[in-house]
Amino acid sequence: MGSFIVYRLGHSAVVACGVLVLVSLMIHMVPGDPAQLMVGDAPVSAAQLQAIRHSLGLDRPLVVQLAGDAGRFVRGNLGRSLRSGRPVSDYLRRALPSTISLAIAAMLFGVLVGAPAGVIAAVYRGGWADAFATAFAVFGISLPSFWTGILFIVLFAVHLGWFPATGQGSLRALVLPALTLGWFPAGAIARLLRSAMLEVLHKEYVGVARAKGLRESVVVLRHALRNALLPAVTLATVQFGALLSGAIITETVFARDGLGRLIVDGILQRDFPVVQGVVLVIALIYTLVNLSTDLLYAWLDPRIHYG
Amino acid sequence: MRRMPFVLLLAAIVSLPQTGFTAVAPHRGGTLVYSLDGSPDRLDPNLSGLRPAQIVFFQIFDPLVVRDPKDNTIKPWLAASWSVSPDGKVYTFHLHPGVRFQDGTPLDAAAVKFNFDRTHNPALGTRCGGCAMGFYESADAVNASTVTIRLKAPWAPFLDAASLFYRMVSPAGVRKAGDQDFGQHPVGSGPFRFVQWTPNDRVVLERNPDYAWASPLFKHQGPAYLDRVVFRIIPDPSTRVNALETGEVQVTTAVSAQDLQRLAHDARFKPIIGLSPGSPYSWAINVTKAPTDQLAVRQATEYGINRDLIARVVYGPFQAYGAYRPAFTLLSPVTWGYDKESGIYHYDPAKARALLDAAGWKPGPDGIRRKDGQPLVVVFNAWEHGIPELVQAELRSVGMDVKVGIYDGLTVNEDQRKGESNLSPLPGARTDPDVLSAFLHSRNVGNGGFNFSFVKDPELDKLFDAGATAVNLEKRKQIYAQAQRYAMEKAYMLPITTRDNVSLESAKVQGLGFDATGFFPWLYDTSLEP
Amino acid sequence: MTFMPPLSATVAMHPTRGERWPPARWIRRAYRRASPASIGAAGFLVVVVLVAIAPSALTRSDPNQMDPVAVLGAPSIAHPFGTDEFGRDILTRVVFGARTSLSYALLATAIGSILGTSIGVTAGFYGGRVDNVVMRGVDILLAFPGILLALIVVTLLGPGLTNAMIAVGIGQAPAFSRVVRGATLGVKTSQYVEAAQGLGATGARVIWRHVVPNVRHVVFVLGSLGYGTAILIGASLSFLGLGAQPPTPEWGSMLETARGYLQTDWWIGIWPGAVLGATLLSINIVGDLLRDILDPSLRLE
Repeated sequence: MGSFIVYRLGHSAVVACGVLVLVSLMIHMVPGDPAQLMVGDAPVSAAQLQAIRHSLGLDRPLVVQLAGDAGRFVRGNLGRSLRSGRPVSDYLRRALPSTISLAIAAMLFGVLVGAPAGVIAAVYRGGWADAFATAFAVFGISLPSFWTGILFIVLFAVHLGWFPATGQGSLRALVLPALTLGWFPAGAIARLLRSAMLEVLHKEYVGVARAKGLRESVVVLRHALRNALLPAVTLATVQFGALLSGAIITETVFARDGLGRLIVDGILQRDFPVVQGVVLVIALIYTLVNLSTDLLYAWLDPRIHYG
Repeated sequence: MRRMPFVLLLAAIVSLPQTGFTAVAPHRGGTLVYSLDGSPDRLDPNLSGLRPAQIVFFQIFDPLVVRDPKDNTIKPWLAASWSVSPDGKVYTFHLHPGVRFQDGTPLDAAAVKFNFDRTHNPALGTRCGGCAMGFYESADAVNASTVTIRLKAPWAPFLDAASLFYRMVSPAGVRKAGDQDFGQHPVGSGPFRFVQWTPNDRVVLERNPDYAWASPLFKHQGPAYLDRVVFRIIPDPSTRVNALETGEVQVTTAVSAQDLQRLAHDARFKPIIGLSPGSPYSWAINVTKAPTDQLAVRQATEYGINRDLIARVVYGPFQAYGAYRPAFTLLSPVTWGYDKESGIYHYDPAKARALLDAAGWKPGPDGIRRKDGQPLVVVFNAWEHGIPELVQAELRSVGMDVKVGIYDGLTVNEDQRKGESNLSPLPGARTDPDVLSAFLHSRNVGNGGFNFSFVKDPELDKLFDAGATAVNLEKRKQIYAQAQRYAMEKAYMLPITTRDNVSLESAKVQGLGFDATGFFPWLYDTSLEP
Repeated sequence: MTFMPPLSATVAMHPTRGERWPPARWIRRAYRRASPASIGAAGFLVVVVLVAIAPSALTRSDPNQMDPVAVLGAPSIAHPFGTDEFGRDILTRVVFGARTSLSYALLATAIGSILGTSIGVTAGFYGGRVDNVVMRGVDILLAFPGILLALIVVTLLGPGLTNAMIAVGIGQAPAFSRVVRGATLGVKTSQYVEAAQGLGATGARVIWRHVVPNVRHVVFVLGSLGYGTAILIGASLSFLGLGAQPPTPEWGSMLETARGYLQTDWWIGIWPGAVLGATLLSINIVGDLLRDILDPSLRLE
């Protein structure tokens, strides 16, 4: 087990480096001159723009710029944002907790609402509870989050006044973004768990458990759910990576700081060091989540061995 | 008898400020939350030209002089008085006594010299678009409170630039934080001082308790009324307005037409409209790319769009406030130097068709005109929806196939620089007509200059050079009128609507004014009723 | 938001595959498994596809026809779904939008499945060093959230729905290749593949004649799942301003525009939203059915 973790961590490092190299190449190839976006509404002269480019080192050949990037990374320096001059690590230090807390809250919502919904739908198959749970799941996976987000704001913030529309820091401000971001995984988990439960509920050992006279709730929770949980856990952790995608939209709608907003702005403004830094962090999170998925798997299903 | 109403009106105007402010004394204290539509980059007047940053740092840094939006004249601020040499090359400023930066250091002639030298230090890479680049020679501290600025050649927009872009930063603050990091730790002499900045979330300012050098154009003296100002960064327009409705912010900028209509008559809110000078919402017409290299096609484009209709459909509710009105000229009506007569293209689809017919563009079976087998295709890029769709539909009816691309700023810019678009949008908020030289002077073609019409016209260059160096105001006005007419006759640019500041404020906000650009708030006189 | 089957997906192979005529079995299974919901979903999809193929059969007007007099009109007899901010008929635009949304999502899914299948089959079939190198590359691609990749590709190639969908397709490819690789490993050890190799068939020939037909059903099922996601990502890119260009009617960009009118002119968003939601729901239900029919043993576990 220990050597497996070491191997996987090495693997993570390789993937993260690969991602970084790929992104660095891509972002520098993207057309667009970041210096042009630093000039506001009062247009500058051509000569002045050259001076700005020079001050940012953007007039150096691409190869020299890339070599500079590589040198920085080797020294463990993520660099500074072209746009603001602020260290990229400074941005990441603030954005990372914000995105992580959003993702965890969304995932909690996804699991705590999606899993019971799936189980109830399976147990009461065909009844109104099933219909309700299925409708919930379906809305979650088929409504774009930029739409549900604004719907939640209008309903729960503007009209009911229960939660603030924007911001971060407080738990109340986290509720609406988490709902927006968590509805999709909640729907996906509910649907998957429902079909997995239906499958399992017809299995022999469940029949045996029932025949032994165990109460239905015990049958469902102890025997059926445990076996149906495996695919749901996989889905949940896979969704965790997908949540980062969703965060791009959610953070913009709710005006939250975070990795998603950082990278969208970074790409649109061609702020190369910021994009590189965020991508590196996302790749690391992704590989770590995968590692923990596999460990969770081993814990849930003793049949799986790693050598 | 005929004089009576005028006298009454005058009396009313004169008495307005007094009646407004003797009746209710502004409430002191409170925190105003002001929403921004984008993130500031640096709170440094020399290293940022972006509007969200300027909105914030204009509260922290004062200028030497200020343009009064009421009468378009230059009024004192940090400089109590000033004089200009007869040749227009030397400006002498006499500073307001006793001014101190927020770090306690004095704002004296040496500090002003430091500021001008910093702005014009080529190694810094100043972002200032309206500064005296190429004209500035030197600054000298004559004594502690007198500073002279020497220009290489007379440059008429100098005082205008001094009112907007030259904002005094603390030399000690710059030395402490370093040139590149000063924007993270700004120190100025303004009515508010910097407290904290959380990227992508908020910037917090607090009242400068020692403030005693407000420009006479403000309604009070001494420290500002508000305890704190919090700028919240909210990129999504719907969320911005929703946050105003929930009370999370008290001022929200860049309000959409439908939201203004919905909330303008809500007693909880007040609309604020700032009419913006400078270039209206204009498109550069590329004279080097077919088919807009032909005058007939450019003129047909000008004649073929119904600006009144566009303004009404896209910005309908704004019209009642005089904002986002149809624009027919290269300068908006509130700009000094605006020339109404240069608006020669009014909607005339028949004329547009006739021009195209005469130039040999004949309608094909699909309604798109052709010449020598080539269809009449025009590439039209923009940053936002609304105008492009209508222009596309209107020009289609005169036989032009408009390919619309609505892209992010840099993609639009990339097409512009490579000359791949026929029509591309331009920035242009300035208070001086010299702004047009950025778009039409030949020296700004290529290398990132903003002449995206790619016009190299010696006639225009001559006019712009004369306009920039003329000292006599009347003379300048005439020169720019001539330049505007000439450029419109050649159809080098396509103005469509004005572009103004439409904001909403909570009814509790009192005394929020905007500077002469219409976009930058003066929070000094602002108070918040409990 | 992003479509991504689990990393550890393994596919148990049906032992008798390739021995009988499969469609007969599928039809029988479809008959047994179909529920009223899945029949309704399939029926709805058929309608949407027909509408997408021939939108002008359903509505005669031009989706780009503006009417400055009828801007933001509420639903009426002349305009059953109302009109948008330019006075365009929303019903007509929803109908024509079906073509845009469906065909572009098809493009994305085609790119994702073809690219992903090629990589997966190659890696799985040849194994060894090829497998190792290719799958590390796939891991790297998988570490990109889907929208992020789309964002970079779109800025690289220029905005527009075509480029956006190419990006979405590339983003989906790694997921396809992972699952298809697993399926290929299962097929590779089967007797007839070994027999074909024993008879001296070249690798490419074996792949094309024996492996691909046996992993095809996996691709179909994944494709049906990815198809819905592609539509959703297309809509999200419109939100970020990188989607369809005017005047193209597209559900995602219609929804995005409608956001600003949520509190004033609700009908602008309701209809494209409802149709988009119903289409995605149907795709999901039909996708489930497809999985049951084609390969009941395909489980994402």
